[in-house]
Amino acid sequence: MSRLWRNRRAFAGITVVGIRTFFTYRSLVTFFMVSMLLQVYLLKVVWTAIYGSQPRIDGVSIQTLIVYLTLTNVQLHFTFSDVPRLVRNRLREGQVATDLTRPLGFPAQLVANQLGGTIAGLTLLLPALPLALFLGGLSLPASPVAGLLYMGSLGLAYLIELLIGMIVGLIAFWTLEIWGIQVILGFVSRFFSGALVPIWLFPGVLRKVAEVLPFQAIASIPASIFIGRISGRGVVDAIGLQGIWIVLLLALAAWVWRRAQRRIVVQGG
Amino acid sequence: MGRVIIRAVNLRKEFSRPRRQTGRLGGLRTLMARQYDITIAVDDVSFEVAEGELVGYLGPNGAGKSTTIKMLTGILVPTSGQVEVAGRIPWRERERNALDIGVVFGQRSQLWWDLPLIESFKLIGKLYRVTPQQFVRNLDRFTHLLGLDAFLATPVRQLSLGQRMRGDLAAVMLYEPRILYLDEPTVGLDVVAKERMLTFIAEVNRESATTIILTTHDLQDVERLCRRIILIDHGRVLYDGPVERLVDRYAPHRMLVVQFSSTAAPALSLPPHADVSLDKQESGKVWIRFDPNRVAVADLIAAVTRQCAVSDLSIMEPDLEGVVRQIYERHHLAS
Amino acid sequence: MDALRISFAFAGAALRTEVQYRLNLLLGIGVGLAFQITGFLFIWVALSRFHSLGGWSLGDIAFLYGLRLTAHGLWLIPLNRLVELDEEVRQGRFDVYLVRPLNPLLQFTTIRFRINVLGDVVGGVVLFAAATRLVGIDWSPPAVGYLALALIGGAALEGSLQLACSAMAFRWLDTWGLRLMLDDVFSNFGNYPLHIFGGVSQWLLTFVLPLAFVAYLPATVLLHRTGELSIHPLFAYLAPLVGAACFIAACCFWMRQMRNYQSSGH
Repeated sequence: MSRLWRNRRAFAGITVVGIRTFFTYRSLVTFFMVSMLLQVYLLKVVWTAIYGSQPRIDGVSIQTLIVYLTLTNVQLHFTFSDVPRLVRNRLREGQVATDLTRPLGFPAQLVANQLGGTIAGLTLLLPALPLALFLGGLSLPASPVAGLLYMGSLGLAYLIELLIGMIVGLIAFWTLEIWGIQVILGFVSRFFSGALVPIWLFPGVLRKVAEVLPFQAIASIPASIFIGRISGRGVVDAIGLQGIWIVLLLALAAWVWRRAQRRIVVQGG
Repeated sequence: MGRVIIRAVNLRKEFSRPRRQTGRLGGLRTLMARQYDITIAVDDVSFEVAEGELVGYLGPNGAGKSTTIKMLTGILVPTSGQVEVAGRIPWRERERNALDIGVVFGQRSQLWWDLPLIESFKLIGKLYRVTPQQFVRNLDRFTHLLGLDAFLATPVRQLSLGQRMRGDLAAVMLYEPRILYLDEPTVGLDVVAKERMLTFIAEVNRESATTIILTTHDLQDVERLCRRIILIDHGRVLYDGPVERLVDRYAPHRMLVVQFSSTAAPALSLPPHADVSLDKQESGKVWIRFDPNRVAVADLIAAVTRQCAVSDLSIMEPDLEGVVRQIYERHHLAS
Repeated sequence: MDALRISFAFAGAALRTEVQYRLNLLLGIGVGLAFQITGFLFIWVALSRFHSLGGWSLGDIAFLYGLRLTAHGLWLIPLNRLVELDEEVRQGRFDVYLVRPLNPLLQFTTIRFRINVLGDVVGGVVLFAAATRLVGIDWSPPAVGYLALALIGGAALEGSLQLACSAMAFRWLDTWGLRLMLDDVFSNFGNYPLHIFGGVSQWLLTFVLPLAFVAYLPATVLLHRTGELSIHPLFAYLAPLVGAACFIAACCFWMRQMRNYQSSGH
């Protein structure tokens, strides 16, 4: 931590680089944004059709469900971790060698870069929220407290996705072809985060699987707090679960990083 | 020389590229108000080439050589002007024009990268409707001429640059095109490979009366092969005619190099003649520039040897490269 | 004719080139397949509990999904090279097609083959086959004939739009975002019965972006659901024609745009 504070300027510098880099990928980021908005619209239409004339399913009205789905999709867009692509690029271009010699640790550099991207992404995401409202649906949080807890939970969710991204990215130290993993993980995480079908509507087995995977902690938990599906004591449990995941993933990430460092030495990189 | 087979009249090509705006929101501004930068690659080029000619098309980088060739081959559509090849407008009748021409790009191969060389040949044969007899005959002939036997079965990506160039040449000759466009074919080749290629080109021109346009900025190629040279710079033709006349017209002088017996600088008085001047002087050696059309060299030598003891003398002709460079410089100053 | 024979020779060579890179092949096919199948998983899970989506059963939806996916795979077979046009135009590698005696579009699309698209085709066929077990399909000759036409027409329609987008490469040098966006819309919205979208959207997706003609309208014919349509059933029956017309138009457009090719320095 103190090392991080000592190198705070370098950290900020890399964050700025992350912001700039974001804007060079204009067509790509625009595409993702539009794609997300269209996805939100599609989900609204499909689920409205599924609901048909039923006012509630499992205690949730169609309007609330739409808010939930809009939130989860927007959240996934916000928490998206670019770290795997970053690591892969640095490795491929051979700049990792210099990166590793910097006083600011490599993982910290990755975090700084991603933060830059997220901040830059917000400049596009925030103005797009009215569109999300129109195409999907948003509402006020279930209560002011829920709103505050939502922010906290969202922060934790960001951290979880960051850690997962870090772990996947570091795998690139063993094999550059992490593209296949990314694609599959992308879909799995999307599905099990509740962004397509709300977790509480998952059939039996899948529900159990979803509960042991970290992906629900990325999107479903914060969104559920927002709409009030999780409240009272449940919130403590939910946020606690997020915390547990963070601890687990942190440990895993640290371990993978140690192994990666050793691998570099062995390779004489 | 036969009839005119290539005719270019006032050819002009402009390229417009969207100007990227810099600074904040640059990307957005580039999209909103599109401004274009217009480059004039070819300004006004006109020439005619008769069937069977071997023409050197010379110019520095960015002069407009490749752009002209691309208009002749139908790759680019001219901004204005006319172009006619074998009676057709290349970009309008691309496929029919293609049957009559062969193009070899020095920097890029047209062969199939991952397949053995012979496979590329077979595909080209099919593409150009070469009859089986013609194919076998030409394959044998060019394999022999270019020494391809050793690597006919090798995938093209494993060939050296020289081998690949030979493969490209053979490929293009398989269907015996009437016109060959060779775009910088000797770039990157070693001396031996270069020589071999130039010999081949000369032979093809001689035996098959193939019209050849050779684009290059290597003057050695030109001196070796071409009787006619077209010089281009900044999109305009600076010279179009025989190579010898190029030298005569722009640099008609010769250099008399005299080595004196003693290293002491002698007081040399040159005949008072407008076309004789002292070009350079080192210890014991002088370079005297003179115009052989105006000055009898024998008189000049006599005048010099009369004054001092001479141990050696020689006459140098200006090199083509120097001449060409002079022309470019002169053109720059004028424009 | 001659041109087709030659392009088949090209295509054969392209395939021979591709199988050299076997691992790439398997990986590509695998990922392509996974990508397509997982899209269907969403609707499968959603409908496992609720048995109808706007009156359509899971079997009906699977049929529509499979139809669209197969059509998608079908146009990928001849046109998978389109994604590489941007780069070839930028690098000036497109020159070579213009000096050879064969239609440049034909040359460009057949000279190499991106074998991973086979995964998309397989995915579509698998899903379609599964659907035929879930819902009663009419296997009479006219129906089968229409099915074949619908698949080809749908493929032609989707393909024609991608072709038109890629043609802008000659002018813009970068069509990636555009093509990706188009593919995204089709992959997302094309698999659903459009009557759930309501007036404006449905109209947009039928007459502005002719998505409906790719799979939805033909599916209504084959599932005997043309009565549900808010437009005249004739549109549905003639869907393959729309595909064919669009394809021809797109080819002409592409050839016309080719004149904007500026090549590169070298």
